[in-house]
Amino acid sequence: MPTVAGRLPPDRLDGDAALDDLDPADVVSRAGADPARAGRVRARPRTHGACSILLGTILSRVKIKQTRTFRARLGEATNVSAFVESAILGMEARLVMRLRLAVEELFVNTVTHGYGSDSDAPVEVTVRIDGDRIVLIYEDAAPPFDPFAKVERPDPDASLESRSAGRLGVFLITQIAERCHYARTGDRNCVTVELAVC
Amino acid sequence: MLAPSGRVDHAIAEELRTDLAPYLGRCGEGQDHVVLDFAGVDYISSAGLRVLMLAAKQAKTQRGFLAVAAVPPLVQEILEISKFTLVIRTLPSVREAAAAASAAGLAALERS
Repeated sequence: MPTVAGRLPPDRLDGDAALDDLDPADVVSRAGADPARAGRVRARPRTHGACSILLGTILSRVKIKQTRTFRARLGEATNVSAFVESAILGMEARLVMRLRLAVEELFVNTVTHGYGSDSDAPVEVTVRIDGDRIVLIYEDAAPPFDPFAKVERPDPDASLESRSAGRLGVFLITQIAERCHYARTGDRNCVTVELAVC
Repeated sequence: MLAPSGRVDHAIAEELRTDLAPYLGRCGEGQDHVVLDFAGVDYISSAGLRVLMLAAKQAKTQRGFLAVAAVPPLVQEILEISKFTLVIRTLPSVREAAAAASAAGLAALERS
């Protein structure tokens, strides 16, 4: 597993977000409270294995969050994808692809349907690494729209001629995600997509 | 045999559609067989799927042979989730796609 420092370019970090939940003293005391783990730590105080246990404990409790705001222009889609990819750099290829897919589908929908066309309206994208999950928080200021309210599923029995060529994006998100959630918060649509770390 | 590569996303979907158009125009009964070699494709989104769907519709209307071959596992997953494997012929390798194309050609010949 990469170290926290290795995974995160420091200039990409939100000041308030890094390691926001981490209390090293708590981690140590929890390790000490577990007799099996404490015993292993005591028995091999300087071994790599003991370090890995501690590091694993720390990393599983770390929440790393990166946020960036984009203008709602289709030409920005590549930058949005590059941003989410950099946020989980080094993680498994399937996860990277799924995160890219989720954000591309949401972003293209925001520009073409939400705002109607290219504009300078904001889209705020946050990627949070949260233990064994990647959480994508996606916000725009377009009119209220819940993408998950009515998701069209491709009909496996439909003939090629009758199948629609579009509208697969949101369906794909619901299939690759562990959980999808929509909320209208003030003047913003807030979509949360959780992906499991494979 | 056409080999798109990289990311088949919204940014390049229209370009891909334009690039495919002349080949698809000749993808009919007794005409060209079109095989898309996907070995170099590492990402596909709904915009890319739309291009594939339109291509498959056109080929079917023209009674042509269109197949996608050598799809990497992560892209194959997306094709399966979206039920594309039911409407577009996918084959494990370019070799098998060529064999299927030949068989299709042979069958067409025997029908005529």
